[in-house]
Amino acid sequence: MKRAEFLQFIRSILTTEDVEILCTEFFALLPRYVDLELSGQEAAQLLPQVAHHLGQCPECYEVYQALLKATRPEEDHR
Amino acid sequence: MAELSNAEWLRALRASGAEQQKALETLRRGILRALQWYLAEHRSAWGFDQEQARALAEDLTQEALITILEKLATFRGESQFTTWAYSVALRRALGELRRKRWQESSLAAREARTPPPIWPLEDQRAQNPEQAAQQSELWHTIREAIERDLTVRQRTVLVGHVFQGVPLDIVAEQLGTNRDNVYKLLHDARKKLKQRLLQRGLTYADVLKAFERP
Repeated sequence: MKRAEFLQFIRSILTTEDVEILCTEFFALLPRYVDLELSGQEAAQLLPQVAHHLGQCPECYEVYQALLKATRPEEDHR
Repeated sequence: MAELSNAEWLRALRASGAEQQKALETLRRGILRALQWYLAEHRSAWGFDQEQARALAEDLTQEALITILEKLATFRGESQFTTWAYSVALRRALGELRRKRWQESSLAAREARTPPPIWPLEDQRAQNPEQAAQQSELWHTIREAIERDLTVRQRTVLVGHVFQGVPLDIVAEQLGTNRDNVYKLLHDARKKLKQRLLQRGLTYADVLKAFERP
C-alpha cells in the first residue's frame, strides 16, 4: 500500500472509539450531514458520529465527497 | 434540480401517469448529471475512457432510479429529498464500480487471505538505520497484534480490506454476512490493535516520525 494509505490506517487505529456507528446508520445520516455543511452549519459538531465514521471508513468517505460535490449549486461545478 | 418540497417529491413519485413520469425525468436528469460529473472527474482512477464513462453513467442512473423507488419508504425526511436521492444513487454507483474493478483485477480469484503482509509499504526506504529500526519495530508490533490478538474473522476482514483492497461488500459476501457485520469486525480489530499500540507507548507522532519521507 502507499505511504498515505498506511498512515491513514494507523491513524484510524489510534482514533478508534469504543462505540462507532456502522455503515448503514452512516448512510441514513449522511444526507442530513451534507445539507448541514452546504448551509454553512457545523455538521461535524452536530453529527460527530458521522464525522468520525468519515475518518474510519474510506469507502464511505468517497461517497460523502461525491455527494458533497453533486449537491453543490450548479455554478460550483464549472 | 427543480425546487419541489420533500412532500411534493414523494407525492409525485408515488403517483401514476404523467405526474410520476415528470418527477422521474427530473430526478433522472439530476442523477445523470451527478454521475457524469463524478465519472468525468475520476475516470482515469477507475480506468474508463470518455465513451465508457458516458455509457456507464446512463446505466448507473437507470439502476439508481429503480433503487430510489424501492427505498422511497425509507426516506426519513431529515434532509432534502434530492440530497437523499443523490446519496442513494452515488452509494449504489460507487459500490458497483468497486465490484466491477475487483472482479476484473488479478486478485479477484483469491479469497481474502489471513496472513498480513511481510512489509506493508510499496517502498522500503528509510532515511537512516535509526528510522529503519523504528519502522521495523512499529510494523512488527502491528503484525504481531494482527496474528495473535485478532480472531480469524477479524483478521480476515482487516487483512483483506486494508491490505488486499477487497471492497467491504465483497468481503461481506465472502464471509456470508453483511456490510455492517464486516464493519463491526473491522472496528473490533482496530480496538485490539489500538490497545496493543498504546501498551507499547506508541503514538501517531511516533508513526509519522518513523515513516516521514526522506
